[in-house]
Parts: sequence; structure tokens; C-alpha cells
Amino acid sequence: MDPTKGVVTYGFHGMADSENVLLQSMIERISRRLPAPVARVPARDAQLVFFDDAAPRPDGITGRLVRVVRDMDAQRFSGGLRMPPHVTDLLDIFAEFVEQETYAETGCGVMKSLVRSLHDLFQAGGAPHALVDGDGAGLILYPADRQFSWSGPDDERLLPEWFQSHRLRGLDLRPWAASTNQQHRKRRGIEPVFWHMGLAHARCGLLPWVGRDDALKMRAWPYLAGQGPAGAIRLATALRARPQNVAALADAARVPEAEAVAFANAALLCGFVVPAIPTETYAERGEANTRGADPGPVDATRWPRLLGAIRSALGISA
Amino acid sequence: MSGELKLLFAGAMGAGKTTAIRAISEIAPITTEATNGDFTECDKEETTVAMDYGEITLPTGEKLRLYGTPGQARFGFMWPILAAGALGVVILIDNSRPDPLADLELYIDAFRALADAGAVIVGVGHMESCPRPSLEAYAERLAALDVVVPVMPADARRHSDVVGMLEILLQQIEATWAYDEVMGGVSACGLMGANS
Amino acid sequence: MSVRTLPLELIADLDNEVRGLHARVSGVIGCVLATTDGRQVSAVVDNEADPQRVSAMVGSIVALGETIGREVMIGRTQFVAVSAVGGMILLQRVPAQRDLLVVGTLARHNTNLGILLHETGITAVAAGKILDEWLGRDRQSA
Ligand SMILES: Nc1nc2c(ncn2[C@@H]2O[C@H](COP(=O)(O)OP(=O)(O)OP(=O)(O)O)[C@@H](O)[C@H]2O)c(=O)[nH]1
Ligand SMILES: [Mg+2]
Repeated sequence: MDPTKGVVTYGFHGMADSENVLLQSMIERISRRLPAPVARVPARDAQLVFFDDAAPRPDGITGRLVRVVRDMDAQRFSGGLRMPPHVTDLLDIFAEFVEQETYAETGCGVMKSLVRSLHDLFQAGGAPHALVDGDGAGLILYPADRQFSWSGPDDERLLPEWFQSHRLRGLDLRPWAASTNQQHRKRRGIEPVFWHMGLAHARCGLLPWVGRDDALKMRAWPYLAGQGPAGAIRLATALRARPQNVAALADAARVPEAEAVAFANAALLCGFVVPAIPTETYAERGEANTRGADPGPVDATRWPRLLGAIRSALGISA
Repeated sequence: MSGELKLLFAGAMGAGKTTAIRAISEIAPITTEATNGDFTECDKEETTVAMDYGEITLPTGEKLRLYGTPGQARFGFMWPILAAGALGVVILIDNSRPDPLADLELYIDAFRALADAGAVIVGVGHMESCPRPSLEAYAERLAALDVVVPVMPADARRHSDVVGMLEILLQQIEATWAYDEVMGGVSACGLMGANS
Repeated sequence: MSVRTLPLELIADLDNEVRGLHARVSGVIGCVLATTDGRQVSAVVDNEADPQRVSAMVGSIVALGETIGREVMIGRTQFVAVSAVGGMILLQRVPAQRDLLVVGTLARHNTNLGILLHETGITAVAAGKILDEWLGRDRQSA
């Protein structure tokens, strides 16, 4: 959202003119119900760009991409717009965008600096610190051991809550001196904290020190993938198969890019994923080629049907 | 062997290979259990000495064959025989054993070619009673071995856990095959010959 | 029962049987007595073969032989034979009150199979007796 004007600009890429007209008139019709005034501009200048999934990935566009999904049976998949257009999808897309932009202006500054301080603290393996919220509840962090404990009662379920926007502002990171009655707290690995912090950071984009074009590489299996985002196992699988950047990763795993960003943040903070050195991408390709030299039991054209058959026999939905 | 479709269950003694095959096979599994004479290794009555065998019929009419290996390192000669032509391997580890991470290393080493090719998953059993080493420690040990393999807790007695492991294993296999295809139609799988 | 707990005198008696077979049949170049779960109990092997590994394989193959016997419904398996260009190996279970031991005899290729079978059988029965006696004594003392 352009903060000076409070207008959300949108555009189209790779779609038929008739569809552009249809969509524009629909958006104008529902404009009263949208959270902010909107205006159509060329795709290059737009903040939100509706683009056809089948079209090549648009170049020179800086706005947020919204895929147009032409599958009649598609559930609304977050960030996408079903065609023919659904009013509810449009309302959600604009509302989500405005919410995130508003958040980006305020909450993201806090989020980014918190992530950086925690990351640096753990990189340096420094002295114990407490991360305390406005109510005095807190996490005690032990950077040298890569561990944390709760200062109050243990509650794993609270972790996802910790980095939500409404709590962020109240969070305070300060050195912590152990008092004797607190020595016996149950410590555990820091990874779940980092994982949820990474997920929360997705609303502010990739971690500040990671670029959108950086190829990422998996170093260790992200065993916390079960804690979200929804497509995490698929994303981990795709990244395990080869190093790639977040956009390519989202494509390979067939999930919205926001989910890939959340996964990448979480996995990067935990150290499951690391930026790839450019040459590595090629080295791994060579490896993948040579190891398939032995003619296998299954001919390559047969495998999609085959995996489908195995899944259905085991009662797994793909 | 172009018709063969098989999955292998490997891993430590008592980790639940035979149990896992029993949980999902639709035929009564063929087993080769012998009296276990070494309770220092594992406190159970019987142990597999050659192989387990189970089957699942696919909707296409083909059979998916399930093989279980004997666990002890002395039976290592059976592992490549059983792994020949396997689509993938489930490595089961028993977290209550004295050094489960050393077990992990032994089996990853034995199935390295499949692990590098993304056709291995590690399931850690008995975690309810022995939470250490943690999954974190497993992931780190694998990273130190320079291999990325999915690790998850799995109780071989539970059908859903066994299917859950296979679900992730199939995803891995699919991603690797799809990637190979993009990379120039290299024939997928058949990753481990009998003599490898 | 664990092999670690097998008393030395029992192992010594079994060693005698294994060495006896090796000495009395001219073509025999090795004999391995192992637990059904593939651990070496006693072995003499003239060539380079590693008796530890062979013990594990004897356990596997006897079990596989018995499994296939059941599968094709031909009743109880008596022995498994492997015939190769450079020799042969005969594997069978040691008949005793408890199925605890297996025996494998390795022989040169010109050895008479009938004799080899007979002699291996004799050794297996003798080993079984020794084991049964020990099991009986063990039970009494318990
Ligand atoms: N408590 C607990 N028991 C388990 C778990 N997984 C397997 N078991 C039990 O552990 C035992 C495993 O036995 P098997 O299935 O024979 O193990 P195996 O891997 O085939 O062992 P070998 O053939 O001897 O190498 C069974 O009694 C299972 O019920 C688990 O996660 N927790
Ligand atoms: Mg078994």
C-alpha cells in the first residue's frame, strides 16, 4: 500500500484482455467492500499482479504475484485466484495484502531486529539471556548450548504464539543471571523457538541476510517440518532433491511462495538449510546423473502411475 | 527384473523391521526367525536370520514386495542381496539400544547409494521411553556424514506410523525421479546392484 | 541362552566333534558349528574363508532352506547343499531338544556326497547329544 496515498495498485500479466476487463470491473464493483481504495496500473508498477499460471514467470515486476488458478476443483489456495473469478478470493487477496503491508510498516522493523539479535547472539554463543514479554512471561536462552527453557510453566503449545505481531512490541531481550531456584528448569534444543520465529518472519519476507535469488541447500533434514507450514514436507523434499531459490522451490513443491518463504526462514534459522555456494548446484547435478547409470527395475515413463498405485494401495492421498 | 517393485526394511536388531512388514503386508509374512541367543544385543525371543517377506497388491494388479533384513552386522552380507533393485529403504533405529547413532551410521553406510539418491528414510522407534538421542542429534549426525535423509519418530507397531514413513519415502523418490527426468531423462532408480 | 554363557567345557566338547569330522573325512576342508542366529561356536577352516562370516551365512541359509521347504509343502527340511565348481558345502540343523545350533561342512569337489552327508549327520547328532546333556544338567542345577 502506498502509505502516502493509501491506494493499493494492481495489474495483470499474461492474461487475455477480456479477462483483464472482467476482473477489473469486478474489482471496481466490490471496491466499497475492500479495505483500501484500489487502482489499476501497468503490471510493472503494480503492487499486486494477477498473472496466469501458464504464462512464463514475469520479468521486471516487483509487486506481489497472485496466481490465477484454472482448475475448477481447486480449493482456494492461499494467495491464488480461481478463474472464473470468485468474489471471496478477491476480497481475501486484497485484505491479506493490506494487512501484511500495514504490518510490514510497523511490526516488521521489530521482527527483523529481534531475529537479527537472536541470530547473532546464538552465532556468538554468548551468555544466557531472557526474552520477556509485556506480562513478564519469558524464555530463557542459553546460546552456548543452543538451548532454551521456559521461565514459567513448560508449554510447548505456546511457542507459535510467541512471535505473533501483537506480542512482538512488548518483547525484550536482556542478559539473564541464573538464580539458584531456576537452575533446574528443563532445557531443550533451541530449534523449535527458531522454527516458529522463522515462520512468523515470513510476513516480513525472507530473513534480512538472505536474498530472494540466493540458492538454498539442505544440510540436515528439518525434522520440525510437522509444525508447519502445511507444505513443509513437500518443500523439504524438493529442496533435498536440489539446491534452488525460494521462487523455484515454491514452484517445485507446488505451494504458494509465502509458504516457501516461511519454510526457508525457519529452516535457515535452525541451520537445516544453508545458502548454497553457486558452484554446488552444478556439482550436485553431475552426481545425480552418474548414479542413475544402472538400468533400474522401473522404466521412467511408468513411475507416475506406479507411485500413484502404491499410494492408493497404502491409502495415502497424494 | 523389469517387473520388480520392492521396498526394503533395514536397521538395528529389535527396531521393528519384522513388525513393520507384518503391519502392512496383506499376506501372512514369510519369516526366518531363529531363537535369539544374544540377550546382550537385544532382549527378545526371536530374531530374523535371513529375511522377512510380505506383499501388497496394487490397483494395477502388480505386487509391491516388502523385504526385511536381519539386523545384526554379521548378516550384512544379506543387505545388498535384498537391496538389489529396491525402490527405497526404510531404516529403523531402536532408540533404546546402547548407541543408536552408531547404528544409524552403520546402516547409512550400508545403504549409502540409496541414501544419496533420496531413497532412504530413517524411522526412530522406542522414542516414547527413550527420547535421547533426539531427532536433532540424528539430523546432525546425518549432516556430519554429509547426507540428507528424512528422520522421524516411528513406532513400527502402529500401522499409521509405518504408512507415514512410506508416504515421505515415496515423496522423496518422486522428487528425485522428477529431477532426473528434467536433467536429461536418466533412467530412475535401480540404485543398488547386488554386488554394490 | 547366550553364547557368552556357553561354558568352556561344552565348547571344548563341541570343538572335539568339529575337529573329529575334519580329521576323519579326507575331503573335508572345513566345519563350522554356529548358533541358529548365526554366531560362531566352533570352527576349523583350512582355506581363507572367515568362519565368523560363514557362521552367519550358515544360520541364514538353514533358515531359508527350512522356510522354502515349508513353503512348497515338502515337510521338514533335512539339509541344504550348495555345489560349486571348486567344492561343496552342506548345511543342517543340529537335532536337539532345543533348536540352538546349526552345522556346515565344507568339502572338496571330488568328495562323495553320500559320505559327506552321513558324516555330517553323525557329527550333528553327536553335537546334539552334547547339547542335550548340558541342557539337562543345566536344568537340574537350576
Ligand atoms: N515400546 C516400543 N516397542 C516397539 C516399538 N517399535 C517396535 N517395538 C517392539 O519391538 C519389537 C521389535 O521386534 P521385531 O519386529 O522382531 O524387530 P526386528 O527389527 O525385526 O529385529 P531383528 O529381526 O531381530 O533384527 C517388537 O516386540 C515390537 O512390538 C516402539 O516404538 N516402541
Ligand atoms: Mg526381524
